[in-house]
Amino acid sequence: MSEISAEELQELHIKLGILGAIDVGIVVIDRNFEISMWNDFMSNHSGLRPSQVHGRSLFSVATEIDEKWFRKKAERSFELNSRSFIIWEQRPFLFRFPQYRPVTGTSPYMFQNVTLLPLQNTRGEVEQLCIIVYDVTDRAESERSMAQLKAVEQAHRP
Amino acid sequence: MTLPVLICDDSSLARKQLARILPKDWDIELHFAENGQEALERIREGKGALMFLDLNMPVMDGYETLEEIRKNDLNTLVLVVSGDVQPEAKARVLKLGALDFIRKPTDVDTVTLILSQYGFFSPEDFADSSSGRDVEIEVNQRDMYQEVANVAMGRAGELLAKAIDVFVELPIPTVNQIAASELHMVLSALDSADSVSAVTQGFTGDGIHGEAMVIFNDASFKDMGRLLESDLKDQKYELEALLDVSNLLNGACLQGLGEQLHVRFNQAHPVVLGRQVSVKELLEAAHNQWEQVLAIEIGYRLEGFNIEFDLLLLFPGSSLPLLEQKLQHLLEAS
Repeated sequence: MSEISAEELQELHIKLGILGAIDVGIVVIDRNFEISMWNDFMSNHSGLRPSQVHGRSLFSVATEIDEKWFRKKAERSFELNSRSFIIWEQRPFLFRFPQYRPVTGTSPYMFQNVTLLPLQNTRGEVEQLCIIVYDVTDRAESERSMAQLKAVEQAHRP
Repeated sequence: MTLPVLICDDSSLARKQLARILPKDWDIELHFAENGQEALERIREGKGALMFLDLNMPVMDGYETLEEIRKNDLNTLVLVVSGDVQPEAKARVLKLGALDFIRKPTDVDTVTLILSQYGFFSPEDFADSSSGRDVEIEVNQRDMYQEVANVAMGRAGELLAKAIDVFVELPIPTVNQIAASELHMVLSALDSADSVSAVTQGFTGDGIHGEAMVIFNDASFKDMGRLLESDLKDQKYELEALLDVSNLLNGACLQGLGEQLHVRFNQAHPVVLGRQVSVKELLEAAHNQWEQVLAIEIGYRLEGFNIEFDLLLLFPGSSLPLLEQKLQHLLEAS
């Protein structure tokens, strides 16, 4: 492999900084569901540092995940090399995190949309899967209260 | 001796693409047909010793054509050229007597290789085996959209067939340019559905915006459970099935579309558009949209199951100039 130049190192440093600061969860797992990447969003919300989760099975780190269900989804993404989406209407969350606004928020946990992104190695084979976690609590809360309002309105109709 | 060669495809773009990549110095006399019935007539007139045959066509499709050829012992050799690339489609046509199966979109090298494999053409015999035959075929816009959608939907069908081990019956995509408020009128495949459920997903690439919508006939969910061997029979399960299918279809379809147009599409998260509603209610949000949209409807069915769903690709009028520019490149490149 060729040497990395100072500029390339600087660029890599910046990219890693962005990856850390971005307000989206990023987890990388391999075919055995072992974690190889866990960004700042994930450690901050879970209280687990990357060093505490590295090399461990996703299901032992996040026991709230329905293993059978998630395995099926992830394996399909691995097999077919196809991106997959999980939305909060389907399951409110993948990782059980407390809600971002502990004082004014109305739900006890963070609603999440999740993307499963197969990652190809340099030979074009899919060996890893990136789990991207988005906080959609605001949207979920407002849609839920809308639905409640509608139900109340229906009930009071003459 | 000049070989009479027939290209049978309902799409003018597909006919033109194929005609242009046939080796230039190959001594042939080229004929065309738009469906199986026309093709059989040409063959009887001696205009098709070798035929390139599409599978999804109106009037008479490729499978029926192969059956007729066999039944009547017609003198022709058939190479199937299809966007339906499920392994089962290939197995079926080979069983019906086709020589080989070529995936759409195809290219000069693939066609030349296959032709020389079967001894129709040997590149060494000619100084100039380059393609670029002059063919006069007018390609209209609808045909271009239809053919691009045809290839994309074939990819999606292949992935779906792989994931759940079924044969997917692929239709001919319908292309309409209408006001968004009239969208419910183009959903012909769901005419008979009492109630439907749907998710929609925005996508964007190179300044082209669009929405991919998967709409299920609610009557399909019972069989869907059988297919996915799921023990969940409640409404939560229905949402799972809907999302699973839309993940597969949208991903593969957009990839197929992107490869042809040389665009890499980003996808937003899917959004539930409606559950257990009528088609009209489902598209309520679009009722006040006056803008014209290009709607490509693909009605999938799964063989042996009572499962129907629609994939609807929607492009707003503002994206059409860019899209048409991309299609023009595709036409010129072929």
